[in-house]
Amino acid sequence: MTQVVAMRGVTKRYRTGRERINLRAAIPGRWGEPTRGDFHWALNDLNLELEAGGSLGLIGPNGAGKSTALKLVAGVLSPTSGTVTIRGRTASLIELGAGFHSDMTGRENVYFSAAVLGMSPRTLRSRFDQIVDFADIGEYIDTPVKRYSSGMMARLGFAVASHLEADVLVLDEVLAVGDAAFQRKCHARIAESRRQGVALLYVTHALYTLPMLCEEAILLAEGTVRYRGHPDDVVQAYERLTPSERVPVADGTYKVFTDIRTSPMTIQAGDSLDFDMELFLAEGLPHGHLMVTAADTQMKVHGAVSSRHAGIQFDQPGRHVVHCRIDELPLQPGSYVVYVAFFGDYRLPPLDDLRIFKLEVLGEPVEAAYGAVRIPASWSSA
Amino acid sequence: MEKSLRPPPTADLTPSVAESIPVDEQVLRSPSSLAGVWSFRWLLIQWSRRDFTVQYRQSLLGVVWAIVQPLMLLVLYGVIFTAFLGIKPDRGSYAVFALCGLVPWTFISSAIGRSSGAIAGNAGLLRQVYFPRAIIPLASTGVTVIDLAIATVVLLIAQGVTAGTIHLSTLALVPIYLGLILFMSGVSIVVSVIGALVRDIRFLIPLALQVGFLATPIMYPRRGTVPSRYSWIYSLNPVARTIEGVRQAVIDGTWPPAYGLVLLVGVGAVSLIVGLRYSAAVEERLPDLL
Repeated sequence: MTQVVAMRGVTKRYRTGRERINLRAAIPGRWGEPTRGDFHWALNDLNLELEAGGSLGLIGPNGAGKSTALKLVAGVLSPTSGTVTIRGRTASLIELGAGFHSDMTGRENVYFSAAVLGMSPRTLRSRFDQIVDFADIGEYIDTPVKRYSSGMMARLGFAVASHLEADVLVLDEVLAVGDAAFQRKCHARIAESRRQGVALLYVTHALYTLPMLCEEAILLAEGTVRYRGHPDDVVQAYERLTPSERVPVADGTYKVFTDIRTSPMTIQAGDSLDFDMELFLAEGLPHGHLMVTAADTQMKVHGAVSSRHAGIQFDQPGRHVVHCRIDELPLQPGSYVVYVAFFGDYRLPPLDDLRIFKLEVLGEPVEAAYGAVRIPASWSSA
Repeated sequence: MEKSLRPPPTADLTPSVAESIPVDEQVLRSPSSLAGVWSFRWLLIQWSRRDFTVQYRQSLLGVVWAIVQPLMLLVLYGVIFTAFLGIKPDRGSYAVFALCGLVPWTFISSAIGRSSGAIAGNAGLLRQVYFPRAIIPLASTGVTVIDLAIATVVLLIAQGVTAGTIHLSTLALVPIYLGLILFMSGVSIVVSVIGALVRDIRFLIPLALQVGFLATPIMYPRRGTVPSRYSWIYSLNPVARTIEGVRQAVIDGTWPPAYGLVLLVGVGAVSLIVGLRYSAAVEERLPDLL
């Protein structure tokens, strides 16, 4: 296999401390390199490879060096030492709407942004309508973007960048913007690029998206690879990394699961699923309930079951052991994602404590196989 | 830890891998260079056009300002230099004489002025997307090239109206402008990069331009104004020589000497290459330092 991205022994340092004017920085060559001062090593001997058509997710705590790694791949930064080799064209979605100017119309900004991202005028002309369609901007394309809502800006920015001809797609958390419908659209668009053989390098804090988009993942900490493997394993390694800091964390998310075991996640259509969950609720946690959700690999939800509907709520601190059984899972054969989540009743969903499982349903589709749900039916004709 | 020594980012891992994907990664990843700028020429055009149009958005007169501005300067300085100071042009009408100096000078000063803060002003974009950094000051120069073209039309109309004829030798403006634009492109790149690293440049430049404006025979003729013992200083001033060439071509109807034109274009090309080389050597530090 061909490697499209290869980082070998990459280090990156930043100067820290008070800003000092360094006249020598204007001098070419070694004379201009800063020598004194405090340095922070954002990356410390980082090695990673991404093969053509592959997908790699990067997760890790803040300051682990994820964004620095992406910017090196995007060519925006240069390594302090080591090599970064890129074969092919990169499309970086590090920030949406790169180069948008508020006084210019949507159309003018599409042209400029496309040029800044390296799209050729011929490609842009042939894809312009697609871009506008995808962004769902309609008649507002000739309105200055300062009149746009932030959602419209994000849609237009994503539309331009995702229509680049690229061998590597570099994504940094940009999918976190926009509403649910737009996020689904973005996931679908990325999945489409992936089918066309575009490799993906993806940084996220939304851990539940990792198994959907990536075949492999890396846990970064302190500028180096801590763990590499299947996304599910890497997510778990991440959770083990800093358990104490994350109960509860500042943004109102809580960690409650201490253990989840499931029946085998490769089943025949119509088989049952079992979940054995262990939670520990810290003192002062709000009432909450458990939810098991089945979605397809593009985040489209097909169904969910909640403990609340069975009259089970969690309002006592301490340890809880919960069992959930789904008889005859009514999903057509295919690949799915099942996530188990604890939802606090008066809080935002604690997305940090989603557990994700990949589900394969085997067998013959029932009926015409439109949609994802098996609907048993009997027909008769007189 | 190894200290700040690194191979270029495009270094090959193994030759066999390099052969398997035939992409122009060298061009895509090259820092500022003629080839790098050429591969991003569309961006350069877009950027110049955007910066030109955006400055007139939400203004009533719009592009008319591109004409009004030099004309206002002409009237202001014209009154001071002719009516108050009694300066007489050594050829042609004062309006055309002064415009011949004012048009190239405005190009020079606004190219430097615009580019000095250009890279610093786009620091955010620099950290998001890769492109040859020299594109930014080149686009600033590009905007002033559009202004130069408009102002030159005004100059030629003034010449046509006051002298009744436009000489064939006016065509000499083509090589003169070519040299001037190339030269200022190189200067703009250097000024823009240094201006991003050492912000003092942006306070120094208006001062330097003020001195340059008065020390160059733009609004006054050299002959009969400058005492002869200082005349040699003016012979060394390349801008003074360029303006002299413009006046010869537009007002006198004589072709400036060919060696002068060749020299101008040659110096311009060298300037652009030096500018690009300089930018290529230091531009990778910019995202870290801005």
